Amino acid sequence: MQKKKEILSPIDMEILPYLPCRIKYELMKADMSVLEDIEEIRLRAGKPVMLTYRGGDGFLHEGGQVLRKLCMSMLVTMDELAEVVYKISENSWYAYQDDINRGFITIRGGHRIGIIGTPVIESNKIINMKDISSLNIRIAREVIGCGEKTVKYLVNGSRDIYNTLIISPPGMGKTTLLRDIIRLVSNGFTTGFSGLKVGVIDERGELAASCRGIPQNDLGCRTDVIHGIHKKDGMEIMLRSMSPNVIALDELGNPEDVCTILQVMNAGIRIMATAHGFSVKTLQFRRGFRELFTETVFERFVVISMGRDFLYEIRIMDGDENVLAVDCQSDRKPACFGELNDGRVCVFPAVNRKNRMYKGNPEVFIGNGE
Amino acid sequence: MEMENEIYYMSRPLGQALSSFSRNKRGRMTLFSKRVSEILSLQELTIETAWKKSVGEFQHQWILHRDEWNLLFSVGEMLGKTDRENQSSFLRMMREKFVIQEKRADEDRARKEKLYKNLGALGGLAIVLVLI
Repeated sequence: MQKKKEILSPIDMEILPYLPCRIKYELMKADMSVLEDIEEIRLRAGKPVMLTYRGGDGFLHEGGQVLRKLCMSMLVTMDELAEVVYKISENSWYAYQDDINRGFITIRGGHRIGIIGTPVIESNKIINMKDISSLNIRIAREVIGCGEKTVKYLVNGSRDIYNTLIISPPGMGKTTLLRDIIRLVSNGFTTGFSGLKVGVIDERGELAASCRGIPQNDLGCRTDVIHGIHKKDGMEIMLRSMSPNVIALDELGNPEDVCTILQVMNAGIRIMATAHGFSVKTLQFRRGFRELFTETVFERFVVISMGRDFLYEIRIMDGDENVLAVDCQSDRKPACFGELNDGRVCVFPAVNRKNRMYKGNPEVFIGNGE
Repeated sequence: MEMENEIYYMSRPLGQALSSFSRNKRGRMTLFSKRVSEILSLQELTIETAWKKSVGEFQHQWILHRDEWNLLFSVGEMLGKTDRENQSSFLRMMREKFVIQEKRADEDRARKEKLYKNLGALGGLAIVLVLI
């Protein structure tokens, strides 16, 4: 029995108005529980509408059903894709030209629409995108509170934080975690941390998800955001103009950024950043990180990984890779339980996300195997 | 000119550009642009449909030649569909076309004015001839 829709979900208000009528009406018939869990809506020219949800995917059928088998009566046309982009760009292609050339537009609510087509290139630069062939509508879900248990290991007293690098493979939530840590560091929190001025360099618009210059995500009251700019240039502007205590960046790794990061650190500013990777060791010898590790820039590492026995693990380590804490979204003990150096282990029970608020009640274990 | 600046230099989406134009300027065109932006914000319509609808609403208020109405309709077909440079050159081209239409209308008016003056004089002469 399908659950009836009683209230409008963010998808109803923020995503459906942009979709072609035919697809919109079928999606409106879908079960509310499916709509709530949708992570991506993928539209491809000549292919059926695909939805990614709960770690899997399915195809939209007539009547709003989402099934594994292909639905050949719900094929998306090129005109429909162009219509979606036209609607997203507020009927003004020229106003979103740079975003379209970069391959995505962020809309109200922080949702990101990836755009793929045939690029028009002039002097080695993309100047336009024609024949739009694929769109990926990524539903943004801000998880307020997900960084609360992590952030206390990243602060140094009541007015300082450690330079922190969050490491994980793609799609594991490092940006979500960084976003919440930025919010907490900016606002301050109850255990005596009074909050710091944070400058966010949001090159791809994923942290703040700014729409017409207004951050759609909560990054705290002491946060300034510069978006759509290269990290190197953004850091220089932020340093000169906003005098932040902390600079936060997403997806570090460009060798060109290294020099500016060192310059920022010499100015006494702390760094919080994320990087694609599986462990600290995989990054140590990678270009763009080598110099930062040589200079022992980072004092805290947060590694997010997926273990065999548990869904999700956040391991917090100091600059010498001593494990300080492990947060694990499972009832089982974390895999590294016996390897802890100082013994404090934090285990999250199964995650309970409701209304975008983290409502987990963490248990604290003393790491002696008890 | 104002719209071209809004699009080319400010890169404002059409809804905003039209409402800003109607706020900052005076004249008959401001009423029209205000109406387009209203339709655009109230209904889920494309700019082309909103433009056509507004032109339809103003058709009984403005006295324009058929060619001028067609020209006005065609503005809505291209608005917002290309990049800044193309939008700018399109608006410039349309402005030139409207200037040509205006000149033609002026010439037409002057020609017809002269014709009616002559007709009036000749008509008067004819009446005088009939009376004597």
